[in-house]
Amino acid sequence: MMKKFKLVFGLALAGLFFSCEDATDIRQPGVLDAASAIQSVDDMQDALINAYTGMFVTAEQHFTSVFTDEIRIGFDSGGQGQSLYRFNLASNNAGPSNVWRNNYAGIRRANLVIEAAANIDATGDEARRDDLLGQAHAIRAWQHLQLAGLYIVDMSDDNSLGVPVVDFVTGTDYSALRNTTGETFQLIYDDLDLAASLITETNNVLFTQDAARALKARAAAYREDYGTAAPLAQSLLSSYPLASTSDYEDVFEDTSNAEVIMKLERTLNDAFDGQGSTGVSANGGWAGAKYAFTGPGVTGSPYYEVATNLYNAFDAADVRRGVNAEAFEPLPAAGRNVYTVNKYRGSEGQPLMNDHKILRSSEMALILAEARAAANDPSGAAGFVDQVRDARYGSDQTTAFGSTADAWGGILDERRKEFAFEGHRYKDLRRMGAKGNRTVDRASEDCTPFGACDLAITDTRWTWPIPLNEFNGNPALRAQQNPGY
Amino acid sequence: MKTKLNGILTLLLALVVQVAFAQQTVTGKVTGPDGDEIFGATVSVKGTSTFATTDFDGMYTIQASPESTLVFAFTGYDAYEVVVGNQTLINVELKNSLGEVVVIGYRTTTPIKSSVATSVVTDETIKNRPNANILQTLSGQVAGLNINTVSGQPGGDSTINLRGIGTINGNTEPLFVIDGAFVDEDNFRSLNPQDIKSISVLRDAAATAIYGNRGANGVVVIETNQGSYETPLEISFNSLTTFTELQDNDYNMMNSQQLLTLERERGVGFGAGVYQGTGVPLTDAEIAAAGTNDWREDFFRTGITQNNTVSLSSGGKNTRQFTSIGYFDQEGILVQSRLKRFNLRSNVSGKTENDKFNYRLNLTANYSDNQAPNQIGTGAINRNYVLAGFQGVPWLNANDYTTGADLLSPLLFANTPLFLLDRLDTYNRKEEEIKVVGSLNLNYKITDDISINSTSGIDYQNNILTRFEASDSFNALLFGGAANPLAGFQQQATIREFTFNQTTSLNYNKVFNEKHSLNVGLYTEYFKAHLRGFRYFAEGLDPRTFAEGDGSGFVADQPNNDFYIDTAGADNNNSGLFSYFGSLDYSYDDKYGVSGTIRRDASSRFTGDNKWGTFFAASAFWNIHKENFFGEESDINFLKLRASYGEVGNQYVDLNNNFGIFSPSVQFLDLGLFRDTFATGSGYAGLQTIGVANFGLGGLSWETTKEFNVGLDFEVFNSRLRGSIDAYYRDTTDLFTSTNISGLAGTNGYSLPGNFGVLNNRGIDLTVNYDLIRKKEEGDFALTIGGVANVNKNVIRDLNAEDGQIIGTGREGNRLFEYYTIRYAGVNPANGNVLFLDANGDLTENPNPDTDRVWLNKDLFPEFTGSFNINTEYKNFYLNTQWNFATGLDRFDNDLSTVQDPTNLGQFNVSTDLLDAWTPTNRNTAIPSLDATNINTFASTRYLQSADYLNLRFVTLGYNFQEDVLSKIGVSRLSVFLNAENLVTFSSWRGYDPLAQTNGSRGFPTPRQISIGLELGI
Repeated sequence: MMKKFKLVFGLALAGLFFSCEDATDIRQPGVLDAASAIQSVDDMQDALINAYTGMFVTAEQHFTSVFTDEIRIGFDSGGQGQSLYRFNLASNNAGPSNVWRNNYAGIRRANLVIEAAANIDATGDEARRDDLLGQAHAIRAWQHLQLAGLYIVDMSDDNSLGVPVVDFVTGTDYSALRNTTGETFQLIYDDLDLAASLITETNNVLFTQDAARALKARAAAYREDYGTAAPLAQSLLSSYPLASTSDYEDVFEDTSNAEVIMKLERTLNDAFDGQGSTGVSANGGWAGAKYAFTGPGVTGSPYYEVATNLYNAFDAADVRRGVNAEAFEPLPAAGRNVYTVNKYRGSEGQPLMNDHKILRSSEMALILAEARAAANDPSGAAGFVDQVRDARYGSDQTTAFGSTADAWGGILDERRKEFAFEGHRYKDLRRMGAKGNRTVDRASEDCTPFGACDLAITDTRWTWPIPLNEFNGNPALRAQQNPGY
Repeated sequence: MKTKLNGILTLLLALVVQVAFAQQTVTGKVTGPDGDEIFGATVSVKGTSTFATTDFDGMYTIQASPESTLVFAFTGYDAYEVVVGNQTLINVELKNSLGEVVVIGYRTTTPIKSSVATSVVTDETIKNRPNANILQTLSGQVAGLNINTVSGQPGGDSTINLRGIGTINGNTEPLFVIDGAFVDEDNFRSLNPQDIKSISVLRDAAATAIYGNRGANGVVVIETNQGSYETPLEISFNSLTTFTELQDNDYNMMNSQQLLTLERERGVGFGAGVYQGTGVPLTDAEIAAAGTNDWREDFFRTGITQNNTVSLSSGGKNTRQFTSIGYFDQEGILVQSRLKRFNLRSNVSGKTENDKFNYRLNLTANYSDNQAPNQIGTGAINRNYVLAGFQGVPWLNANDYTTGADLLSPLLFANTPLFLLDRLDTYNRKEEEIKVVGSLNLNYKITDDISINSTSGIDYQNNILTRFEASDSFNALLFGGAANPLAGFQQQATIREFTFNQTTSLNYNKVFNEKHSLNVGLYTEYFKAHLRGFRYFAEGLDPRTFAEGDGSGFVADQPNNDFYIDTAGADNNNSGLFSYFGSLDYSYDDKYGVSGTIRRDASSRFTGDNKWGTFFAASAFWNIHKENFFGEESDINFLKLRASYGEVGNQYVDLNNNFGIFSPSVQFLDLGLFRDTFATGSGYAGLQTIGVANFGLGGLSWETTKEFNVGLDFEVFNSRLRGSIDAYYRDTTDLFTSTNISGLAGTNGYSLPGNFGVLNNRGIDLTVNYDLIRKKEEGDFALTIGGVANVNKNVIRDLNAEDGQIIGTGREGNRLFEYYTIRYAGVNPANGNVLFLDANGDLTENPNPDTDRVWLNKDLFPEFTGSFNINTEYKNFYLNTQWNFATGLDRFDNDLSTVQDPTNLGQFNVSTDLLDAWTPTNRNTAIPSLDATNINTFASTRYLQSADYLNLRFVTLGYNFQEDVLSKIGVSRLSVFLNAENLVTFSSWRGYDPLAQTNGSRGFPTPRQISIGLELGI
């Protein structure tokens, strides 16, 4: 008997000698150490794709549509966006908070690629490394420009407060104050110049040399540096002729690349293939899900509809009317006419999922028009606006502006139609609204129920606040909050 | 008195000394386990009215025949029966019913020698309760233990906090140990509460420090039933049938006439002719003709629960066993919620003839099938059944539903209840689980004083989640679009978790000179947890061949689209601990004693210097009643003062960073957080990417809880009044919490976790019982009242923020999770807009959502909680009640906010409160104008309400049949009972469930339960 007990206890005592390390030094599988994560040009390419994954536009697209005059609250609204539609914009709003953190996260991803380019061994593969490096610089510029366009009060004043420029891989304890606007744009210019010299990529779902140049044209227009913007825009407009009306329709069905300098690809089973947050200025998800829950038309539960005045701004002969709106005249269920947002009907069989055509030659044409207006040349401006209108109508139109102010107003009106639901309207109004005597243009039937019909173009809400969340971890920045918040 | 204590396995069995004189008068002495004479114990002859009481020396004399049975009883002790036979002197040592053996952490002692704060709940108060999850039954039974159940899902998990919330981002739940096996704290739904003998809640650091970096939130030690040696087979059968129903609310929803009339006035919805597209408003007659449907009747039901357990226990000279088999089937009150389970338990123990070797094997195997709809509590009108039940428009009814396809056009929010009727038919979600918990305890006495012990425990669970959505469902058709007519899906995920612990110890017990009692233990412990998982998500179901859980109907990837690309996943994660520790307990003459423990722990969760932690505790007791202060005639029967200090750790950060694994246990959350890591995955354009997976928290370490505890245990007036009171002061240092960081750092967030700050909880636990009326003989009326209470104050002592405050966390010097928002100030009589107070306290309609927020000195958690119970018995009837209460908690009534939201008109039902909305002729009202321009705009205190409550948590009425009647039919025990939970609740809270500490909305309320049951012993 005793022997048996001893045996049992011998086994039990083995518990004393279980290796301690076996239980306490455990590495979870499936992750890489930071130090060894990016070691080759192939790794760098995958990290670059991750930086592209950080390029979003849906948050500002949603914000712009609701805050300005692109949508009305839909007949099938579940309460979405009503506060924003009432012009409630404060430092705790979702849009400013999401874009700030998303874009700086995107910048960090680009910086990782840029830093890796200097460290990896690319012997024999230098050209590909440089191409990837150039694209990373372009992404970094794009992210900074998105921020500049929303958070800088006056982009034309180099000495004013810009946005913080981040050009290295930050640690988690990093914080900084705002750079000047001049410094902000200097980084954007430098990055884009470098990108244009390094990139060899030609696929327009990635940054190409042309895309870097087009982005620089946009940046220059934002800061009213039309001397820089115009030649770039002119060259790109020549390379990318405006689309025919039928091509234009195909562009928004993702079946044509006519006049598309760059687009952000959205495809089945990618990181964006899902409904995302509806009715919120948040990034991610299908573009069309920022207007309707499930699909195009009235059966897709449109919580927003095309604003009455925007619909009415489209001439029946303008191809953009059908591209932007589907008409239900009337929709008995709503007891009135309903125009649903049509720009993101879906692609590849997936309702509401479409690529974002972020750089197109029509923008180049309208930048050229801005350059003429800035030069007090209303008829020159009219000429470029007319080019766009001719293309969109598929027939010769006449366009004339009686004054420079008219020209600015006309450019704004044209951009409103050309870039509806693409996140430009808010930035356009804040850049040019005062010059062109324009502000939000809401139909009284849309806005009266919400008591939100007017917003003076001089209102401080035409610039985004630095998000409240940022001040919690970066209290010194509070002193640099934009006016009015 | 001579007592020899032999540690964990020596039960102080009743001592019966036989002396052979053939007389009819029986005399003897009744003592307690410590040898003290018991005064006032009753000795009765079973089945007769003959009884006697013991004198000051514990002596009694009673007339009894040899075939009769004597019953010895005294409050606070287990009754003891003995057949007289030919004995005339029967000395009895009664066992303390509060748990003769007190668990103090890896070891046990007696109540008189314990120096720690422990509460023991026995099977008396936990068996025959209707809850699938034992934790819900514990509510109100232990001072300072706050059990918060926010979901009525059968077997649903509860959040448990002991003595306030001691952590911010750390795990707040106690460590659970069942018969020596460490088990998953969140998974009790598969276990059978009827098998539990006792639950010990270790409350202070003196008791928990020996559990090292897992003990900071308290330790709950559960012991299951064992057989008894030398006892014939006893079979007992418990059956309980429970009816559960929805608790009501005070939202006063509209009927169809009210709603349609208001819709017509407002020009929205069916009332305005919008819904069916006529465009013509309904006439008065049409409105009058509309039926009113209460959608709660379609989405909620009276649930029926069957709970049956059969147990067999027996014991021979050297072996004993307890076996039980249980079947439980509970329908939740919400449609599609149901828990079925099957339990098997076998506890076997034995010993050698000389008692040198003891072994005990406790093994339970369980299977449960848990139907649990998801998306409950969300605003998903096509997925949350609760939303339809609470908010569905009353002018629709179930007959309006035809098919999912018919609901696509026109697609209207008002059809929400019809979407959900469709989902009921086309969607299901369930979790099937196999759970095995087992432990083997071995004990061998090398000498009389030295023993070696081994405990091996396993907790194995295999959980299979299955859910599917049929291709012809409304949701699949809706999101699939015309191009994808087979958009159904099935998802399955299997998670297998296995934890193993091995504790080995050497124990020395010795009493010197009859007065010096010494107990020393040296231990090592190895703990390892393994998770393996795999899962798939199959896109596309062919309705011709699909059946739930089967893959025949999966649609393969097609050449012309990418709709049917399935995803697969797998998981392999591990975590572990290695520890060594020791304990020392010394007492002198049962008057004074000290204890100390120390433990070194290494955790796989930390690195470098933070890997090892040292935790310790010291405590002392003084049995004041043993002194001569009070004299022989004193009313004080027992009085003990305890004091302790200890430091305990918490290694579980709770960021819910679970690597995408479906619902793993805490062992597998947030592993490897200290590392900077990258991961690969799918990104832009579906291409492969590499990116940061974790921003490493270099200094990550465990939280340390430092606690002082002073306690007093007392029994006075012949032990009529019994109880204990404990005061504690507890600092949690190196808190797991978030520090605010700049978005510029590029983590895609504004905060990062780490160890920062100090949180303090201080309070008092009180447990009191009083025998108001004691029975003098069997069948008399008896009345005992008692209760538990805890008052807790929570103070943030240090925060990692420049200005000492972090929104969402709180501010230094005030409570944790203090609300910070704009103050609501009513309705502007001038225009019907909402009024707020700005930061200066001035009225405004347009507050600044940033700068006008203020700290409110309110939070979600109660400050004063407890229960009181009134237990009576008369003849064979008993009636027990337990009332729970809580004060000092404030909740946002987001459901009220929804039903008072005028923008929901036309789509959902609303409260009749809206009929009182501001109008130019109704200026003095609490409901803003339906045209108010600033509703739904500012977060404010408008819906912040006190949620104090008094709840009749439990009431039971039972009848025990007379044994002499039963013996004629071969039954030893039979009782029948009727009980109820949540029968009545008093609260100013208007919602369904005042008890749920949550600011959620559209959730699954806990039900009211009424049960009928019987207990039969053969």
